[in-house]
Amino acid sequence: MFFSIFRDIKIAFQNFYRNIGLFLVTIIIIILALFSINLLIVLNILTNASIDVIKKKIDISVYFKPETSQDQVFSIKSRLEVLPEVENVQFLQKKDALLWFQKKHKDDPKILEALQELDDNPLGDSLIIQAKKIKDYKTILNILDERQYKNFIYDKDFGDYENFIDQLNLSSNKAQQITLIISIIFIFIGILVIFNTVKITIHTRREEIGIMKLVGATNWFIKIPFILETIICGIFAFSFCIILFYPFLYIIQPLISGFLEDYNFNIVSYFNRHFLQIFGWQFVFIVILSIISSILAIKKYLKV
Amino acid sequence: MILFKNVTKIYSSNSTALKNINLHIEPGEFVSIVGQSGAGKTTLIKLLIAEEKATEGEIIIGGWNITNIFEQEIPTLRRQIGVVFQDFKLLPKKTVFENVAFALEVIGASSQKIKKIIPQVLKIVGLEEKANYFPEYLSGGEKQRVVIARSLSHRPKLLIADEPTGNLDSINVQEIINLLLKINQFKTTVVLVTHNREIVNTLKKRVITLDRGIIVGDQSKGRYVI
Ligand SMILES: Nc1ncnc2c1ncn2[C@@H]1O[C@H](COP(=O)(O)OP(=O)(O)O)[C@@H](O)[C@H]1O
Ligand SMILES: [Mg+2]
Repeated sequence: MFFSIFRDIKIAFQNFYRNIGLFLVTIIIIILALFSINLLIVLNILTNASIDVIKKKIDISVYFKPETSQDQVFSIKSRLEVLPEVENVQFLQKKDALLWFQKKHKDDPKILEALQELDDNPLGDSLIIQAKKIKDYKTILNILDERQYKNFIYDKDFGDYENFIDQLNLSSNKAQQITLIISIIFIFIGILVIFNTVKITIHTRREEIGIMKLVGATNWFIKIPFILETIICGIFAFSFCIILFYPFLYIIQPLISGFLEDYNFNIVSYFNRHFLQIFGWQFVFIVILSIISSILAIKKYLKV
Repeated sequence: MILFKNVTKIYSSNSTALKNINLHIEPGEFVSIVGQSGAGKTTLIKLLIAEEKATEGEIIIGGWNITNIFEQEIPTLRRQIGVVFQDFKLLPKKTVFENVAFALEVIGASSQKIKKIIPQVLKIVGLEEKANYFPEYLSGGEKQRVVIARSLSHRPKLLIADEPTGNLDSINVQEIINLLLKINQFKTTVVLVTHNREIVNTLKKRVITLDRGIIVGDQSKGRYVI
């Protein structure tokens, strides 16, 4: 039987082509199911991306005393950069640092007033530090308190982010839970619908199965082409879903850019980068589902 | 070739299809089974191809006692029997060639062998020109000839035809019967179920008459009596 696998595949393609009208419903159903799943994936990616956007806005601003030389600041910068917790360090010149400071405290009129009263810019050059992970900020703050740094630092601010970060993590967890539950429901409904469609397709071909049995075909001899045909259906629908999904991504890309503003996020290239992760398991899933659903559906008609 | 020993088939308490049938058909015979509708003819055929199991008695085909045949052995049995039914039973999405090829693929024939045999059997039934037609483009008589070609292709020792001419007009009927006779000449045992009086009377072969599940006649050069 295994020697004839090529013949089986050839015949399965032939049957697929000749029964395309019958398989159309199955294909459309699978496309719809996959499309909904991918829609949920997009939703999940966007949730994570927007949380990322917020996290990216978090940083530690370190304002040095005006008497600190640029060389000193740079040497501190390079020392910070090698820390495992640090994602990147940005250097700001004196006057940019003032602008940055004003921007950061734009909701705090008292501080702005105080600044205005001073004729001189009280700030020296500054560094803006971003950590790899939210929890790394604490470590970095502790390091900055060490004497080798502390003496040069005029002020550093890390707002009261902590509270905010906790909330952010909480709601991102919640969002993930909700998408997970919706995904499970969708997958479950998808499986049921695909099972039923395959069942109906095979039901309409029950007479063929009877004829095959009549000429002495064994159950596996009958089953294999049916299973292969369902797999072809599944793969066909899968490919078609991808072909439809990319234009869809291109269409929503401008909307996403608008939504995530200055955060440079491209959904299309995200899908390109994670192509195998996203579509690989869908492929495996669809193939397995095709096999199981066709085997279960055909079982009934193989008796006698 | 075929031996029925006290075979009874009861479908349900109010439907007894065959009662205590004793029957012996020799290899190479041509036997017609006649009887009115509901007499039990199709049931007899179904027992032969193990589509139904006898309620009582024993059935032996070619020395093989199939009374309690295992599910997995049924394909082996059917590969040795050619079956022709009234309703043609062709695979609709396969061409004439592929329909016949299917029976050969089932027995594991190589594709070279298939390519060699099919033109031969299609020639026997006079359809070599229509090898690439789909069943829907064939007439009833042609369809039935494809079925016969299919049941011939694997050289069965037994060919069973259940009212093969039931859906055909008289010219086609004669063609089919001639084919069956030709097959019989190649030493294949033929069992023909029919209620066509004319056919039976011109055949001048053995006739078994069934009536309400009982054999009421068995003549070696029989006529249609009921
Ligand atoms: N699957 C079945 N279940 C119940 N009764 C059946 C079944 N098949 C046939 N019968 C009954 O058995 C009897 C013989 O039927 P059948 O063998 O088909 O007769 P024939 O082929 O001679 O017309 C009929 O009375 C019919 O109603
Ligand atoms: Mg009948």
